[in-house]
Amino acid sequence: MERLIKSDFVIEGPDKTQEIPFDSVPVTYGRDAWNRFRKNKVALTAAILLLLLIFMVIFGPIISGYSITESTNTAIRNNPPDSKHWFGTDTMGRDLFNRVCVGGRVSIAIGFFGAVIVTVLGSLYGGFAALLGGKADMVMMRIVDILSSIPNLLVIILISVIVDSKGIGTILFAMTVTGWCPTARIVRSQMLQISQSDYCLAARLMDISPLKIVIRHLIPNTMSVIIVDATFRVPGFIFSEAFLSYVGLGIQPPGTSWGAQAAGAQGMFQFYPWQLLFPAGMIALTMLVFTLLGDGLRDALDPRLRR
Amino acid sequence: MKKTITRILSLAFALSLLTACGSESQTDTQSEGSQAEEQNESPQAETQYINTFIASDPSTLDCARFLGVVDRVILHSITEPLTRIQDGIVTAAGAESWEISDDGLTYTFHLRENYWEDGQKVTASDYAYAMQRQAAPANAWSFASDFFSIVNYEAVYNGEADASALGVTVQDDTTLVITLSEPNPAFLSTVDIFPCRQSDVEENGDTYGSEAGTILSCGPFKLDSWVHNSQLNFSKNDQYWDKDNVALDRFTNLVIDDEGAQMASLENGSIDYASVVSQEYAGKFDTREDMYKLEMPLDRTVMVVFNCEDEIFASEKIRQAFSLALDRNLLIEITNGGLGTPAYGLVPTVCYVGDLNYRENAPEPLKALESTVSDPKDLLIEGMEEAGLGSDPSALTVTFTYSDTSAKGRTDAELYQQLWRDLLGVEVEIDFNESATANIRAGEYQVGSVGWGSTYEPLFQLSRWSTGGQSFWVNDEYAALVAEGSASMDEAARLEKYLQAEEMLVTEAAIAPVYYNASRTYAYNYVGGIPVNPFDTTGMKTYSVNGR
Amino acid sequence: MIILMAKYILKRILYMALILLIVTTITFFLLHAIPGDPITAMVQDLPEETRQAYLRTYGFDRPIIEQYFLYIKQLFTGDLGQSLRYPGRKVADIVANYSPVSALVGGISLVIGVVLGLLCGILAALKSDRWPDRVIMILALLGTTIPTFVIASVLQYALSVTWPVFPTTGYNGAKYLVLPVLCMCLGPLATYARYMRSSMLDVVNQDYILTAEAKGLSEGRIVFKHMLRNALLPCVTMICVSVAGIFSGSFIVESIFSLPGLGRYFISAISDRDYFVVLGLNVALTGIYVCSILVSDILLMLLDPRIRVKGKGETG
Repeated sequence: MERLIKSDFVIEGPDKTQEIPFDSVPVTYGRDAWNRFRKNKVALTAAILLLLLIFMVIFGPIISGYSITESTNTAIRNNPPDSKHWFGTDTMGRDLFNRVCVGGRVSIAIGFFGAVIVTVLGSLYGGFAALLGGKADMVMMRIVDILSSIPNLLVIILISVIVDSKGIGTILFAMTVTGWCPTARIVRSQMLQISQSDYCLAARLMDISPLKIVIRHLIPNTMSVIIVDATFRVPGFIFSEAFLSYVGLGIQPPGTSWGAQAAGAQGMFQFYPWQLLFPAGMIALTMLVFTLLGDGLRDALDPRLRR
Repeated sequence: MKKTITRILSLAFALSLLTACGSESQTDTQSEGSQAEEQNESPQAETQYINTFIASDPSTLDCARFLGVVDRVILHSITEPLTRIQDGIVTAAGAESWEISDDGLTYTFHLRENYWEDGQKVTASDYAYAMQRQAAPANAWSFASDFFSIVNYEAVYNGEADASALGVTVQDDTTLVITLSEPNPAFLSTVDIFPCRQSDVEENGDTYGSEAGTILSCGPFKLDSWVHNSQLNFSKNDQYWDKDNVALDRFTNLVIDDEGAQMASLENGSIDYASVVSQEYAGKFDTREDMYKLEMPLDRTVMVVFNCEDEIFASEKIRQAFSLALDRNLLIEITNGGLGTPAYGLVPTVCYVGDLNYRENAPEPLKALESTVSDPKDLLIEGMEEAGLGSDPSALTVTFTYSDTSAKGRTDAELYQQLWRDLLGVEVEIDFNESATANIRAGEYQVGSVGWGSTYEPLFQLSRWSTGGQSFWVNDEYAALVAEGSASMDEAARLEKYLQAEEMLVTEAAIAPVYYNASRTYAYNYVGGIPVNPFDTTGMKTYSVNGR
Repeated sequence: MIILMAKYILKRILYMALILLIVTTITFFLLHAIPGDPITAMVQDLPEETRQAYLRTYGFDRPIIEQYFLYIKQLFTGDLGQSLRYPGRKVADIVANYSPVSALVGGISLVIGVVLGLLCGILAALKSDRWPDRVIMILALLGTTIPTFVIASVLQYALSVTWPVFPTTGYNGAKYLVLPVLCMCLGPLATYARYMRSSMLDVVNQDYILTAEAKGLSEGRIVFKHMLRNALLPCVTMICVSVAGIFSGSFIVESIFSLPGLGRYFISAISDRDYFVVLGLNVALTGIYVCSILVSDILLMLLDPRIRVKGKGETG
């Protein structure tokens, strides 16, 4: 196919008397997606579970009746679950349900903010690369090539070791510093694909301003891809934090996370299985929920699946 | 990596808690393959093997470049030092006999007839050559400071003198003379004098000691194969002078760094014995009828150090309050699986001055201080007021530097945090840091946790603080006492000086001793000959298998 | 066409060399930004003079820029340097001796994971939105949702202590690989199952499948001849990248099962401040990674007629 060039066309402008309301398209698209999502029982269950999880980590400590900064109680170390301590107690005699809730806040926050950071950075970067095009695009993507060639683990560990304090901020920084690269690639290629699509061409032919095309077509159509990608990234961050905890570079006391709790209980699991089971189970559940949710969202948001 | 990251810091440190005196540190995994192999051999060979573990791969088996205790223990098995400590006594090994001059400065060793595994004789120059290499600054050998009492050793090590200036002379093939610059009654109980052959080193260059084929044995065992980070296989050395007293035909060191994996290996018999830190596992192995338990005190004091140059910890009273607020029994119970003895002094229970046991003759100084203070919090407030820090402990925030970043390390540090918070009402932040030890050394800390090993005589432990040590605690009187003590050849007089020095250090709370570490080993009933003295340097020589 | 291709590949190789150089530079400076020095990380109680002597021996006392150029120069002569933590071990030997172990364990796991994963994905896609789909997908996912260190130590305990079927640790034959492989195949299994499923579903909606259906082709023929072939195409790219990953090994699995692989070396070298090992392994692993991307691009070019060599090759 020969390339169409602008000079081949004469812009006649829209027929103002019979304007078709383009604006309605995204609305029906959203509603349509919601309808499809609702019918996907697995994804819906996942969404509800996620809400429950979030509810639990926020309000759990209130329900359990133990304070967040609960002090150690050596008299009740390593107790199995009972009516008083639903998840049992940890090696320091703290209520494990409470600890799991507190740890969950950190784990979910790392997953969530990690995903948000890489998504925002990646989308902006990829989006600009696609919009600028030409040399700028090439240079920007070469930078991405280089950054993503460095072994991910090396970057994370090096930064955790270099930066002295090991709060959530450091961990997020270490994990996102090159973590946005895949997102940038996805967004860029999606943008390029859409801007070359027939309907964008049509929009251009109709003399719709480039800004409006970006806002009306490029962003909403890239959005679905971005949302799906973000959902899939969440479990990755939670998992990486668990790995860092095993290695000893994760979140540091008095802070805690599911990864830190699981890593701490790993060596003793045959004696106190509940100390491993609950945090590891929470990680598993969260990962499963986000993955299934992502699958559901992708199916729901994919315009090609509209029938 | 939990273990690995800490492992690094821990060559002289956390790792030695597991492996401190070496022999109990090893456990290992029986590989099915090697078992099958052994069963094909003579009936005796079927049983005379042992599997143990080591927590990390040996750095190198080059006697002039090795870094840690694990490596040293292996060297005890594959080379023959001039003397070994056996059953707590300095015993003839590579040297048949030796004389010490009356001034305590000249040691003359007479070598016995011993051979390298290729049949060549071990000569005095092999020992001298090894010592020259150890002193070479380029090797930065980590155990070199043990040898500093040898003439010019320190100067050579620091690159200020040529290796030939070293006070080590080869008189003839079987006579080696070592000259000290000052009398050191602890010399032979502190050092290992290993031999190494010049031709082997020159032939292998940099790779000497890094692979199985590059190092020859002249000790009870020889290294047959070494798969890095996985396992080392040793077999009996037929050329060894004392081979009739070596029971084992072979042994294997498996490199296992995950604690769960170590314990699983012991539980299913993949390894024949292991030191067990966790109380839970100990409880489990206690119920096993096919195993027995060995408990032994270690040469290591785990302590809290205070940075005396810090604005807060410059105050002696504040330091004392922090020291007294530590519930040592609870710390032992939780952080060390109930192993060890509460420490109210610096020098561990296993140390001797000559023939006198140090602790048996020394009241623990911190106990005296404890009896005069009813509430450490009052002491703290008093100290704060004197230092112009107000009188509200809760306004005080200190940072506790802790090097063990593993999950266990975290809970351990939290306990310290909790104790200080509860008893003193101060705010404690924990700084977990792989480079904690370096930071503490550099004085970039407020309160830190360290563990220090000792040698047979406590001099090594005490002299560490003569220049302030990690506490940056300056006390000339202390330094003088330690120096006077170490120069005295009389046991009782030496002990007396050491006692006075220790009392100053502990009551002025430059450090807060927490516990004298101990180890607990579980072995299958058929394993015999495990040495119980932490200073023992016989390697695997004494081990045997009876009725596997 | 062949000349064009050769030119393209040459260009890509030069580009790869540039990437390697830049990545090494970044890693070099990051590594040297870690507080502390290698000798202090290894030996605690070293006299200051000796420490300085040691640093001099390895040139660590020189300005960082000078050290950098010395290292790069050394790199160009093909010398990856020596370990600091393990005196006498050459980095090149470490790579040569231990990457095969990681590659073997990783390779077997990858093959098993990919085969099972693709099968699960195909099955799930064919039964899409019915219960077998959901059960298969959730089962396939379960393995990846539990942290590896948890799975590894639980498996080790269950299958070597409770039921002593497999050896606990070590590397002495096929038996020793079972548990590590079991742990490591779960990741690829889940990834490829999900990927294949969605790839199949994409293909189902393509016009040419509709055409095939309209032509009245049998369902089996459509599935095997048209759907599988097209759905597998995107997986090829992924497999290339996965293959690059197996050489780096898994730190957790290698630690827990005491496998002499690269994963353990790499991670512990960072904490050991073993500069040359980290840099050397990094060069090797990054090299393998960029090569695998090149291979996957070439494969894709050969397999997919829609992609043609252009002046500016798109990467990634």
